Amino acid sequence: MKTNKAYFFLLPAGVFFVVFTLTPIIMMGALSLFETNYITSEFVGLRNYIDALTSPDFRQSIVNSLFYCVFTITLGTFVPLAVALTAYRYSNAYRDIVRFAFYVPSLASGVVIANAWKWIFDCRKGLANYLLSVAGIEPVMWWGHQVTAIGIISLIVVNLWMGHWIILYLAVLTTVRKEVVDSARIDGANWQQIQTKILIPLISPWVLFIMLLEIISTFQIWENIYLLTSGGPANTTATVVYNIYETGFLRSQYGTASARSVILVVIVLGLALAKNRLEKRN
Amino acid sequence: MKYLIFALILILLFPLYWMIIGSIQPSAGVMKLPPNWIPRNITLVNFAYIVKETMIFRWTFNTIMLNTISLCIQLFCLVTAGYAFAAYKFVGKQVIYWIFVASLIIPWQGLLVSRYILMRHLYLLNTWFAIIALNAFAPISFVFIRNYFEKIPTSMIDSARIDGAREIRILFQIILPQCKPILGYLALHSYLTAFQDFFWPMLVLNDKRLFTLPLGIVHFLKTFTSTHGLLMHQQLLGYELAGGVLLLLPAIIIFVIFRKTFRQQFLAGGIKA
Amino acid sequence: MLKRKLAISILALLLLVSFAFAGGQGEKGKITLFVATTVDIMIPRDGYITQPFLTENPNVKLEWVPINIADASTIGMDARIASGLPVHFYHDYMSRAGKFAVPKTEENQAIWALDLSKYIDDLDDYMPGVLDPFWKDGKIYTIPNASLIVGQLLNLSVMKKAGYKPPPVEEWTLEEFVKCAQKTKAAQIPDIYATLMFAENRSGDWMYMGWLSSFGAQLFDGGDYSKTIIDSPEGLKVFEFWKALQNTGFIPYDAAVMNDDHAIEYRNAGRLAVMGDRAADFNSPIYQQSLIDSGMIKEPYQTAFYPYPKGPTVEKTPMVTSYELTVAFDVGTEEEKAAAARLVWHFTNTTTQTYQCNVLSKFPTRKSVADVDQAWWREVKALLMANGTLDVGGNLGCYDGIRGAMFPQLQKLFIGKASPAEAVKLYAEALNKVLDEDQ
Repeated sequence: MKTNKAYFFLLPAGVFFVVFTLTPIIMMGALSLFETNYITSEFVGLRNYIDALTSPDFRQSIVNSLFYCVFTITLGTFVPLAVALTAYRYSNAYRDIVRFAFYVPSLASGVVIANAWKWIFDCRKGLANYLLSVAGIEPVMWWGHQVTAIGIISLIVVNLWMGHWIILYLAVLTTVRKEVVDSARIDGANWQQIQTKILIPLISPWVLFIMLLEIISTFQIWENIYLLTSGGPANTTATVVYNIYETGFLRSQYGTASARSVILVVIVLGLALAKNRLEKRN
Repeated sequence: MKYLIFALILILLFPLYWMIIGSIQPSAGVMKLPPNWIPRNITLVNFAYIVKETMIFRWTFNTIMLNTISLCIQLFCLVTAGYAFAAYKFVGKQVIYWIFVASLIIPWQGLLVSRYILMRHLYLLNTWFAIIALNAFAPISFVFIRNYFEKIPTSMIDSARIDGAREIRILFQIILPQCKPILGYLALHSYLTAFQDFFWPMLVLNDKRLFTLPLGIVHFLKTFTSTHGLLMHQQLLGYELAGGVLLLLPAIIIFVIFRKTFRQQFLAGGIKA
Repeated sequence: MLKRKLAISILALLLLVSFAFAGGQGEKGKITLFVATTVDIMIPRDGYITQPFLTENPNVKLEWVPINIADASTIGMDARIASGLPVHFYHDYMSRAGKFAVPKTEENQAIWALDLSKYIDDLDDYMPGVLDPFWKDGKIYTIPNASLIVGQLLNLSVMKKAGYKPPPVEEWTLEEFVKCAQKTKAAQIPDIYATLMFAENRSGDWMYMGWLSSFGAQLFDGGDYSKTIIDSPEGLKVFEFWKALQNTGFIPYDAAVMNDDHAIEYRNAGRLAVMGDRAADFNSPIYQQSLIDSGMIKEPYQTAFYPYPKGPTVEKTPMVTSYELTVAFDVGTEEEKAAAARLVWHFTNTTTQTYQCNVLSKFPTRKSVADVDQAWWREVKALLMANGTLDVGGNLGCYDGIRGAMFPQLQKLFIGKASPAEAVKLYAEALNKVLDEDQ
């Protein structure tokens, strides 16, 4: 009897999910076995999958995405954490400012923000190279090398997510009762110890959870690549989703796009499960 | 450390500063590299043009209205599904959870055309419901608050059941009040992000009176050159930035008004009994 | 209890309201045409096309479908076709509309364009050669209009500052261009370059494809679209020339990360001696004044429009042309098809093209567009007749893929990852792949 009731409660969410998410997913899966631009269609079986796995561009995009992963997780884990821990020590007003300042960029139009960053790293007139020249360093063609281009885009993307994470971390931190922290202080602990023994263990489940979301999201970075590098110097900054967009949408090859999306799910699910295993071991 | 953060904030807010000072100058003040740090020729002509030529007030109203309806349905679905996961053991719990996670991975671009076909056959094209339906159950919000629901001690629920309370009553009278902070957070977040999503509305809405604000502004910018000729292209940048400011403004206003919501402890270490 | 009822009834009300916010339904007695264009035809000011049409056909209602406005893909059209809701009429740039106007295979084609020769009877008013690429087996599926003709825009004011006097148009050779570039570079005016190349994205490639003509290079062998012939000595010379432009500093050294926005900005601001660009009335006082008003320039500049310079081995330099295409689809009732074809005519007739030429600076495709007070386009027309057009595959369905094949290789060239010889081979490979997929 209990079990039936559960399904009853799942119904509203379930209906929407099945109709508007699951059904399109199944349609997409079916589509991946065809080559189609919706005007002419041809059943090709697994050819789209084999093409994808042997295509140098697609494989390059997987490699690129892993680069992005590394960059965004490094930046996206430590920086928000540091900011939240610092803001925790100060007043509500300070925290409000921090929350606002970091969150607001994510509310602005991606196009405008991308254009601004594009100028900052412009070769001849950008702010970055100007600062370098003041310091006596040679200018760098920021958008012309894979590592720097991916680095900048990761920066922009983390910039957009950071506000959200900082708000979350602060929310968790504020659940710590004041007495606990105060008694630790009285016992002679300094800030470092408070951080490592009390606060960080409290946040760590959330940090790991957010890392999972970050992994999923880095493979899906699309808008900034479209606006800034079009896949980058010789296709070295394209993520998997950007590659799907290029091959599937610009050329109207929807079968290919669907097959590559399925491959993407397999890859990322694999990464997510691997991450879970690692966590369980620790 | 405190000052490092201020420096970081300055860098990260720079693009917004650039956008604001660009929108109040006539176009080329923007194009100059390096830009004028202090704006010259301050003028509101970019904003005036957009207000005159487009229906932005209607679009802003549309966006808020659309999001409110979306939100009500979304919260309803989230709370009921969350309760199902928290209060029951049932077959397929883990599987369903992982299906939700997997659905996050699929890029929305891949599902675009399939969803469009679906909407067509459900006669939902060119209606708001096409947009609402997609936001109604967001797996990411669910995955996010599932943790929250799991921390509710089942003892509380069991004791209520033993007392003979009906399930729905448990849900509404015991669980729901405890969830207010996080629901408040999700609500706020949904409004703030409603001012960015334009791709799907662009696909399904034909009638300009139904547009949301981001869609309306993108549409105005993109049809500008085709409508006004190539030689007027340089005015476009000013309008882009003004459009950006107009998109940001409602979101900032909402954020400032409801900032206390973010101060709440909406991520519980535990729930106060 | 009451609260709950209230909540539920509010929810139901909101749901009902959401259904109410639906688009308008069709009116009785009228046929509705779904029109997809990049222009916002619903703005009264732009009714210069639709007003005459609606006056002529009072029983037709136009429902405008805004599509493909956010990016370069045709997702809007594809989605509509996929869901069985094709539009009746489509107007868009060549690289997008071409996908739908050029039928691929005899069988299995879900949506066909109408054979417009059955509906439009003044097809002979089009300039010679304009319609030729679009005829297929005696049928024509699309009418091009609002073309852009690409040549080189010479900024006479910059040249004056650099101390270079350009020759008359017939004597514009590669040698002269190099002289001009050297003088511009030697003058060392801050932030002024001889010309611009860019490789960051696929957009704007029409601004530099004209260089192929300077060296006599061709993408295709006279209408044979099964493979490309760019991998030839002439093709190699083009890539070597582009690399030389970078090496000698005639173009900014970061060409690999510049795009068409930079090109347009530099051109508008009068910072280039020479730039590949479309023919338009850049000397018009209105245009120059708008540039001054927006602060881009301090004083007006003079321009001249020449075809690309002639290399030592060529007599004339075919010009790149690009069109907007109008397509009527073979869907719906006979009435709807006839109305859609009629709309094609209105989009491309003499009145419309005259307006577009005068006001929007678009180059007409009809001979009868003569009542135009623009002297500049008469000169351009003469140049086009003299030099002919360069075939860049614009009439192919896969034109967008063809465009996408160039910029990665150009980028590799400019960042030094590929030598000119390697770059031209990579380009040929990429092109052939696109052409193969299209067969």
